Parts: sequence; structure tokens; C-alpha cells
Amino acid sequence: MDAYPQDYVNHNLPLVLLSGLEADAEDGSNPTVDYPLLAEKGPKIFSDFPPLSGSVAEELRRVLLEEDGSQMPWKAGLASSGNPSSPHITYRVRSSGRSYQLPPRKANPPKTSAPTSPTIDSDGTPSGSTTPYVLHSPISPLSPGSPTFPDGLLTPWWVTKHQELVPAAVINFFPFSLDPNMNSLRDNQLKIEINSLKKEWASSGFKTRFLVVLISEDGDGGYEGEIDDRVAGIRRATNLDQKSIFVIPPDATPSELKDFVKSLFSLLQPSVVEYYRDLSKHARRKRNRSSIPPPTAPPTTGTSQTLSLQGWNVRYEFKLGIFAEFRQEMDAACRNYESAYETLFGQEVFENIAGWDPRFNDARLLGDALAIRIIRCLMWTGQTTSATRFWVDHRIRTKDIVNRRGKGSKNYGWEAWEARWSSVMAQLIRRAEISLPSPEASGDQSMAMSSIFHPPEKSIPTGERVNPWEHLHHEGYWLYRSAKHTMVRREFALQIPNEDRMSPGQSPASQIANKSYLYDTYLAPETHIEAPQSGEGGFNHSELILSSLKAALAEFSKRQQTRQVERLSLEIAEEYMRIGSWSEAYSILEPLWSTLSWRKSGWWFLMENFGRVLRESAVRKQESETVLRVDWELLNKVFPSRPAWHYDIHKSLENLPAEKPKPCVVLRAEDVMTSLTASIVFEKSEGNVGEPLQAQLIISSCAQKASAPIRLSEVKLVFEGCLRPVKLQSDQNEDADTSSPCCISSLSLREASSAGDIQSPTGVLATLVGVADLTIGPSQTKVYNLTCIPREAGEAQVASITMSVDEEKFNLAYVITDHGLRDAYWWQETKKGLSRRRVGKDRDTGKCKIMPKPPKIRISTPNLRETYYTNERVALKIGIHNEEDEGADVSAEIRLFGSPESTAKLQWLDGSSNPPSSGTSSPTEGPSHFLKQTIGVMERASDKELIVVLADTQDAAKYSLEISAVYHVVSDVQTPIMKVITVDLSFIRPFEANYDFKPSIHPFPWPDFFSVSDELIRDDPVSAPGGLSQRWCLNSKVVSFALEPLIIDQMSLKLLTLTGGAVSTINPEVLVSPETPHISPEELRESNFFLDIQKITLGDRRPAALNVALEIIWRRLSDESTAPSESDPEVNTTTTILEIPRFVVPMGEPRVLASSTPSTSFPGLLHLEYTLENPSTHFLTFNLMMEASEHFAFSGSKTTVVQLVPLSRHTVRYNILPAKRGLWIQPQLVVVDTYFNKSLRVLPTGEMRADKKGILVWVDADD
Amino acid sequence: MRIGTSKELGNSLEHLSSSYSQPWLVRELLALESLGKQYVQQKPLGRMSIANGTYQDNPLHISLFPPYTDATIEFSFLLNSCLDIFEIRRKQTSIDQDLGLLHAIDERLAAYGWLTTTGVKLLIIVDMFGQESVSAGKPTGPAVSGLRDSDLKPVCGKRPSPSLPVLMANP
Repeated sequence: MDAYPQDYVNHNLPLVLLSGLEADAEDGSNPTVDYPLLAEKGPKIFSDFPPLSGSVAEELRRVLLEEDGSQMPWKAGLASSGNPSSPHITYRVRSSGRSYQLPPRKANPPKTSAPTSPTIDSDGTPSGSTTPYVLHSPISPLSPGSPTFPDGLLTPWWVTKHQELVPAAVINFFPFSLDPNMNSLRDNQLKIEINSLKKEWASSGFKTRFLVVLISEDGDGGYEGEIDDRVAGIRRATNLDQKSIFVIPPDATPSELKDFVKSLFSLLQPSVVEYYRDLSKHARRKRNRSSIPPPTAPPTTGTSQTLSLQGWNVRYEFKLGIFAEFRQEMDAACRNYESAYETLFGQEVFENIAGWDPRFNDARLLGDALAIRIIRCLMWTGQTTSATRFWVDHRIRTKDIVNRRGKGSKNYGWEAWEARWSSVMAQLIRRAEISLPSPEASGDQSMAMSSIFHPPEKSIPTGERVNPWEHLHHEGYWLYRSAKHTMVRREFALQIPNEDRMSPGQSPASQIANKSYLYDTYLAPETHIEAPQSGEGGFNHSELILSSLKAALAEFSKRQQTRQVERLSLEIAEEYMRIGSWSEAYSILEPLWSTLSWRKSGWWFLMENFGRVLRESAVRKQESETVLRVDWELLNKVFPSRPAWHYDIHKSLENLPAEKPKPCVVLRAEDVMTSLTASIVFEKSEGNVGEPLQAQLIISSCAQKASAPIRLSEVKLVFEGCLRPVKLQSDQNEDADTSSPCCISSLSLREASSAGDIQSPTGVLATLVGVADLTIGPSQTKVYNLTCIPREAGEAQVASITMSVDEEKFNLAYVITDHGLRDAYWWQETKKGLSRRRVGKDRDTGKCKIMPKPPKIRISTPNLRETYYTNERVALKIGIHNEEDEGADVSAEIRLFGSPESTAKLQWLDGSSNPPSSGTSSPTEGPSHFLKQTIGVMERASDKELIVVLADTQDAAKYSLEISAVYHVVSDVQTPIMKVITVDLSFIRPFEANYDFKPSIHPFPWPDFFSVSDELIRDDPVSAPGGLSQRWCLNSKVVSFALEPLIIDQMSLKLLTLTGGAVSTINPEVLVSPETPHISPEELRESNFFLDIQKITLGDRRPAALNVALEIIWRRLSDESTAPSESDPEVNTTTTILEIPRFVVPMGEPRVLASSTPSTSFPGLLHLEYTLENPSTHFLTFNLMMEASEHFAFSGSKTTVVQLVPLSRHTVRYNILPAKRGLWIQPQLVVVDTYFNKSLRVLPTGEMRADKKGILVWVDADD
Repeated sequence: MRIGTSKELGNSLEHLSSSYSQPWLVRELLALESLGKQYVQQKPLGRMSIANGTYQDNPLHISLFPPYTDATIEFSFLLNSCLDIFEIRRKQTSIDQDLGLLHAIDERLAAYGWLTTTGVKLLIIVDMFGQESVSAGKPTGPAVSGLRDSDLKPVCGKRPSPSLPVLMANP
């Protein structure tokens, strides 16, 4: 907008002149205002009254000047009352001295006299009496000598006159004396001064409002009424009305002054509005006259054409608009402007001006000024879309008229106007302060939209089609558009042929004339300035472009349009590069490069552009680091490749001078695009300390197809956790394979040589070094198999992969620290070539859990059996084998778990058990269930055998034995290692048995009544038992429950208790079957034991109770061969005791015992004997009757009576001849005790059996 | 130049979808072209990246129409700058799928945007002038007086269901 005359386009505010306060330095002499005949002819207000000074005056001046509204936003201000219907008018406030130069009202009369017609003055005032000419304003098209004479439309001076020169009101400040002595004198001076000033103003012809402000001087001012009287006196004397004179007390505070100024201006408002209304009325009157006023003198030079009626109407409408704008009646102003605009572009004004005429450009200027004013008015009233539409319309109309009447729109002048027209819009938007809220502050969507553009105003019907551009966008768009057009303008300027570029002095006149037809120079320089031949000193297009672009950039970045900002930055940089300002270009691009949004979102096309420009500027600036960065990124194949470009990172700095020290660039993977990617994949998610861990380093290239291979000098791998860093160094192989798509190599890593490896204080872990082929061709993948041996347990994770390129001229390192989850593959060589398979689908393949070192001590139990038997003494051998690589300090602990109450005892072989003080056993387990022994240092590969003995296992149960070896290797005392095994021991009973007590006939005779033994007579009754004896046979059937054959060494019957005053003699075992000591599983072993039970005293009839147990001494069959301690068989035999139920022997009851013996002489004949015993001390009589049977014949008494004396027995014999052989026969002898009339049961002995009916006797078959 | 009503647009879409076995994108573009738009550019953008949960706005498809077929870079810049506005709008509460007018680049080109539920962004840049038809003697305004958001709605509203696989297949 600066190209336009300021007053032509700026918003108009009523001018208020402060007179009598200190003048502003720049305001004092009005040097900026250029107005014809101003100094020569303009009326001058003159006063030598000294200007006011003092603090109050200073403060007042400051407050007044603050009210100056020329920098206020161009939008409707609200009145202080908040009432929008009566807008608060702001003023242009200027302070001048007491003297003031006003513009002349009339032009000079023309020098040459010309016939004039005596018409009335165009201004409607009586013409000057001294001249025959009808004089007009010096800027009127009617005045010869006026710039608009004779057919010009308007000059910006007209606006200047009203805006800058002629005040709407003048406020005169005078001192008001409060000195009682000087009062009347000073008041009279004031009256004279005011009167003279008033007169001068009145005589100037301008109807400026005249106000007086009296500032009280210090002094004891007397009473208030006196001051009022004095002021009234002055007022009367000077003929001022009440509202035109004010008094400020001497002690006014700044806030009081502020209030005063506010009220002063609001009092001023109606009169100022009235002032401009008067001017409007005047203009309207002239317009309504609708005739062309004749000029002061007819035009004599050039065309004799005068301004047409329509042209005059444009003038009047424009003036009306300006006056309305002064009154802040923007609606009215807008209507006037629009009317002026329509008329201007109508048939009779613009269309009648020839394109070569300077008036054509004047008309364009007026048109632009009108358009600007109309747009401002529309924005003032919030009609953003209408404003934009008008902007577009004006552009189209202007283009149209320029194309038809002017010099066309295909030249630099038109583009200059286009650029200006856009930037004017931007400035209008800015001055109007159209609120485009920042996106953060706004909540709803309409607000969000309006951060970019304004929705159409409400007056536009919703259904109406609104062009997208007609949504008023923010300034950035306009400025950018402006810059674009300036670029086009430059294009046109560069096309100007050389002969047109010469300065006017050098070129022939014909060409100059030619030029003026060709080039549009409306507000644009002549061709020789636009594009001078010398190329220097001409118009600086770049500066204009850059300033527009930068302003646009600021607007876009204010609204977080980051991508647009990046784009504009790129354009700015390109512009800088165009003019060779490499460092500016560089400084703009370089900070953006690292955060470029196009990198994040993959707009490679744009990023490549950016990179190229940056690289170019960096090369020029010799910023080798940036060159490297850009080269590294652009090497990636996602970028469109440049055919002529040689992609080789190694030759990146070829054209740059070598630097000392050489540049060192570290690129982080998350910041840059890369041409090489690297990842580490652990084959398994877990590993062990000390065991090899397989990992693969995969480096793949995504470089441009045509690029040279990248020769890495080294690759460093750093792990988090317990893995040692790995460094791969290049093998410097010049002819490395760079063409095959994939290579796998296995690396051997060795310790870094201590000389070259200085360990950093933090890095405790020494680096492993390997040598590999690190030259990666484009699109090649190289896989390196790494084997590391972790030394510590814990999580291991890849921390960083650093790939370095060391060149003569630079060092470049690319660091990957962020190992995001990616699909991981494990490369393998297969028959079909290299293949990869997916690994670690659900784990982070860059992570590996290192487990602690596994115990290498082995514990074995060589002689563990499947089954053990109760009471067996289990001597369990425990072998401890040190399979560590070195000696180990071992201690063994053995725990027995099972039933805690069991009586089982755990002890060492020597019988020692744990010292009770060993606190390691838990309270729940008795000391007999825990053993501990310190073995001491075991050499490498040595064995140690321990034997624990488990004894007293009474119950059949399952036990588990936990054997643990706690140790640490000699070299590492800190790390305890523990090896635990658990063995199960199941104990079962080896035997079960059935028992049968059978009576037998005691072979010895009973005591004789008639012979008394010597022993009975003796006094010692205890020495030998003297009672009756009975013989019993205990038949036992022992079944083996063992799972293997056992050897029974001995079986015996143990007497536990015998009650009832008896003694017992137990005879050794009489084995019935089988005949061997072996007993196989589930085999039965039957044996008989004969017991003789004898009462100690004769005649004791108490029954005797017998408790016996069967004791089996046995051993395992296999022991014989395997037991190492064969010499001591005791150790291996086990005694199993089987309880036998208690047996009660009735010693005092009579009984009948049957026994049979086959006849020795007569085969088949049986001698059957019945022995009747009477152990009681009574006479007993028994009736015996042998029942006949069909199975046998018998001899003996069929019926007989046996009488037994006390303590006697008697045997009755029968001979039986069975009828058949080989069967059981049942002789029935009925024995009845006659005294008790009770039949006695016959008891079988020996081989005989019995059932319910009686005894059974086996008859042998024939021989 | 003539602007078709929504119905017309829809009809021509249906007509085209029956005659082309190409993915829907092509169909829509052709539809717009057939309606006399000089230049229509459409570009689905964006992909939900599971890794970081943000949208990566990489271009999926760009097609240019005469007479702009050579202005690839220029239009890449234009399209890219539209993403700013997606970003700004997205900060607001509840945005519709149809974002309507994003911004006008100048009085000629305007960008319209859509956002699918899968986060794919669609952009259409419309040339408001159409074929330049300057006739002497008369001021030439824009050939179309304006464009309502609803005029372009069918372009995306009528999107056939096979669109999803197409989008997903894009890297």
C-alpha cells in the first residue's frame, strides 16, 4: 500500500489541531505535506503568544496526543458507553505552535489573460473582487496550473488538504492567571488574543471549530465564583459559546486530565460531525447541479478536452465518501465510494481515457484508491466475503480495462500491480485486525475454520454459492500470492529486450516513445530501472519477494501451518540462492532440515527438493557437515533419483577443501532418513552365562540403485546389560561383493588388543573386535553371525548400533538407538541358497534374557532302587561329580521329606547324624531328616561319593530325598551355585503272613501221682515249672510282597509276652514248603513252629495268653553280587518282624485230641487215637460213642465210658480201614462229659483237619 | 463449465463404476473429470501406524489432470500444505468425516478434504475457473460463481465398499 499516496488510501479521521501547546518537532513545520501554493498563498494564522509550558500543560499534551487515532485499527470502535449506534469518533490529533499555515483556497489567476464568462464560482462563494477570473481551488481541474487541469479526475492532494492541513477543530490553549493582581490585565490580553485568532480563522474561509482551553497557572486562585465570572467575561468578550471554553484547574491530576480530554472530545464530536456534514452538503449541492463548471481559463495546451460530467460525479461521490468517512459513517461512505467506482468504470469515464494518457494511470490510481476504501468499508462492517469479492472484481475489471485500453496484462507492470493488489489486501486485513483466532483459543469447528479463513458473513444467504477464495483467508495467503506475482513480474522484466533497457539518455527518442506504448509503468518503474542493462542498480525484485515471503511465513507460522512454513522457507532460500546469498539461504534451511515434516510423513518428492537446495547452499558455504547429512539422507532410494547425480557418500566432500580438523558428523537414526539400516536379532530369547549366544547383525542398504557402495570402516554394537560391546572393523577388501542381494558371514570375535583399547571409566566391559566385509552395495543385505558369551546374568538389549564411515576428509557416524519392533528375520544358508525365516514373533528380538550360569556339578544316585522295604536299611550312595572347568568348594545337604512323623532316620554311613546346632533344618523337620556335610574343594573333574543311610522305616510310605550341592567355583567366591536333585524313595512291606494255631499232643507224659520228683519237694518253686504242658503248633504262611526274589536267612518265632503263669519253649522253624531259602515275589512260604507251654504250678487252671511275633531275617538276592561290603553281610540283612495275633491257651479245660498214624504193617489201615485230657482237679466221666460210617470200617469199642481222675489223660484207640483210598474220611467220635452233659469237640492234630462236623483224616492213595 | 448436481454426480459415479473395474479412486476421478472440472486432484493420505499411534501422512496416490499434468512438484506442495489444516481441524472437538473446504490457494484453486474413519485423508483440489474463456469486451469472472461443500459430497459419499481393501493394500 506504500506505493499509493498515503492520504489517498488511508482511513480518514477528523483533524484536531492543538494550538498553544509545545509543537511536535515534526509537526511544527509540516515538511511532509506538499501542497501547491501552500506557503505562497495559503492564509497563515499568526500569533506570538508564547506557548504554554509547565507540568500540567505537558501532561495535557501527552494525554491529548494519546487520543490520536491514526494508528488505530480500521474497524468499528465501540463508544465508551458500549453503544455501537453512536460510534465514538477517534481523531487525528496534531499539536502545532500558535501559528499555523492553512492551504490556499484559490489558485493564482492565470498569467495570460483569457476571456472568461462571469459565472458563479464553483465553490459557491463570491469570487474575489480584484480579478476578473473565476478562481478555483489550486487542485481543481478548473484551475490552470492544477495537476488535474483540464481533465484530470482527482489528485490525492485533495484528501491531504482535508486530512492533514485543514483541521476540523482547533483547540487553543491559554494560561489563566490566578494571581489576583494580574487578573484583569491577563484577562484582557487573553480577550485580545482570542479575538484576533478567531478573526484570522474566520477570514481563512475554513469553518474550523474554534475552542479555547484555559489552563490555570499556579496561585491562590480566589474563590470559585470569581473564576467563573472571569471565564464568563472572557467568553462574552470573545463571543464564544459555552461549549467552546474550558478551564483546567492548576492542580489537575493526570487522571483528571484524562477525564477532561475524554469529555472534551466527546463534546467536540457533534460539532466536528457537523463540520464535515457542512462540507458534504456543499459537495452534494455541486453534484446535484449536474452541469460541468467552466474552468478558470480554457485549456490551451494538449487536448482541449475537459472533465466530463460523469468525471465530475466521480469527484463529488468520492468527496462525499471521504466526508462520510471523516464522520465515521462507513455505510454511507461505502455507498458513495461504490457509486464513484461504478461511475469511474462506467462508459464515460475510464473508457474515454486513452491508454497512453497519463490520466489513464491517474484513473487507475483513483480506481485502486476507491477499491481499497470500499474494501475497508466492507471489512469495517464485517462483510469479509463481500470485501474479497470486491477485491476479485476489481482485479478482473482492472485487468479487463488494462487489456482493452491499456498496455495489456502480459508485462511486468501488470504483475507488479497484481503483486501490490495482493499485498494491499494483506495490509487491509492486518489494519482491520480481523480477528482470526488462533487455533488453540477456539473451541468449535467454525472457529477452527476461521483460523484459516472467515466463513461468509451472515448477510450472504446460506444457499448461495460462495467461491472458496471468497472466504477471506488470512494475510499469509495474500502475501504469498503477492510474492508469486512478483516472481512473474521478474520473469517479464527479464524478457525486456536489451534496447529497451537503456536509460532514456542513451536511447533514441523514437524508442522512448515506442517504450511508452509497450510497457505499463503504472506504479512501476521504467524499463531501464526495472531491468537495467548493466544488471545493477535496478529494481530489486528479490527484496520484494523475500519481504513478502517472510511476511507470509510469519502469518503461516502463527497459525501452525508448519508444512506451508517449510514450503515458504524453501522458497525464501531459493530466492536467496538466486541472488547469491548463500549464507542466508543456508541459515533458513539448515534449522528446518532436522525437523522437516516431510521426512516424517514421507513426502520424499518435496524433501528431495529441500535437500538439494540445502546441499547447494551448504556447498557454497562450505558447511561440509550439512553436505554430509544431506547426502546421507538423499542416498535413500525413496527419493527420486537424479540421473546426472553421482551418488557416492565417500565423494561427498570432493569439491570442498579439506578441513582441519576434519568434519565429524553423527547422525541419529530417529532424526534422519538413512541409506543403511542395521538391526540385531538374537536367535533365542534366552541365553546362559558362559554359553555362546547366537545373534545376527543385519545391515541392509536402501540406497539408490545407481549409488556407489558404502564402505563402512567400522560398526560398533553396544548392549545394555551384560553383553560386551562388539566392534566390527572393515577388512579393507577393495573388491568386496556388492552385487549379490544378500551375504552371510560368520565372524570370530577376539578381545581387543589391550594396547589400543583404552577402557573408559564407565565401560567396564572390554570390547570384542572382529573383522568383516563392511562394504554394502545398493539394495544389498549383509548378515553377520555373531557369537557372544555373556558373563553376567540379566537382560541384555541392543543399546546402539553405530556405523561409521571414515574418510580422508570426514568422519560420519550413523547411530541407531531406537530399535523399534520390526519384523525380525533369521538368515540361514540352505540348500536353495540364502533364506530367511521369521523369528521372535512375540518377543523383542533385540532383547535377550541371560540366565545365570547353570550348575555344572552333577549329582547321581547310582544305587537307587525302585523299591525299598520297610525296615530295610537303605544305604544310598550319592555321587557328586565336578564338571565345572575349575575346582569348586562344595557342601552337600540332604533332606528327607515325606511323613514328618515317621520314625525314619537319616544318617551318614558311620552313624553320625547332623550336629543339632546346624540351624539349617527347618523346625518342621526333625534333625533326623536333615544332613549336611561340607565336602570342601573338589578339583576339576573329580568325583566324591557320599553314603547316607536311611533306617527305621517302619511304615510303608513314600519319601522324597532332596540332595543339594551348594558350591562356588574357586575363582568366583561371590556367586553361589546350587544344584538340587530330588529322588523318590518308596517303601513297601516285604511280607505278609497268615497264622494258624493248632493243638498237638505233647509227647512227654503228664506228672505221675505216684512218683514225686525231687524238684517238687524242693523249696525253690520257681526253679523249674511243675505244671502241665501243652504242645501247640503255629502254622505260618508268609507271602512275599516284594517285587524281587528275596533270600530268607532265618525265620523264627519270638516270644513277646506270656501271661497266666506259664512258660513256653519255642522250637525252631519247621519248614513245610518250599525247600529253598529263596522266596520269589508272591510266593508262599509255610512253616510250623512248635510251642510247648507249661504251667509253672500244677493245678493252675488259668488260661495262658501268648504274644509272639514272627521274625524274618532276609536279604536281597542282588546284594550278593553288588554289595561292596560283602564281608559284612549283617549290613545287608534286614529283619522284618511280623506281629502275630494274641493267642489264648485254655489250660484248665478238658479236651480231646485226635491223631492218626498209618499202619506200618497193613497198608491202608489207620490207627486213630483219641487222647482225652483232664487237666482239672475233678473226676470226669466221658461217654464215647464211635459212629459208624459207610466210608470206613473200624475196630474198637463202639461205645465206652472213660473216667478220668484229676490231672490225667487217657488214649482210646481205633483201627480204621477206609473203604476207599485217596480221600478224606470223617470218623465221628462223640465225647460227652456226663457230669456237665456236654459233648466235647474233638481237636485234630498233625496232618488232620477239622470242619464243622468233626475231624477229617486223609487216607493215602495206594502206593 | 457446468457443475453437476449431486444427483448427477452420483449417477455418473454409478455409471462409471459399472463400466470400470478399476478401483474406486479412478472411478471418482473420472467422474469429476467428466463433469468438466479442469483439474481435479485427489489423494488419499495417511495410514495408521501401529507402532507410534500417529498418522503418517505419506501420500498414497496422486493423480493430476490436464492442464496440470506436469506440475507435480507444485501440486505436491499444495497437497502437503493441506495437511496443516487437517491437523488444525483435528485439534478441534468432533470433526465430521467431511471437512469441506480446507482452504483456497488463490482465487483459482481450492482444496477440499475428507477424513475416513480409518484415518485416510482424501484431498481434492478443484480448479474454479475451468477452461479459460476470456472474451473481449466483457469482464470475465470465475466461470463458476461458487462451489458448495455439498457439491463434492457425492465424490466421497458414494464411495463403493471395495474401497477399504484398496486402501489397506497401500503401503
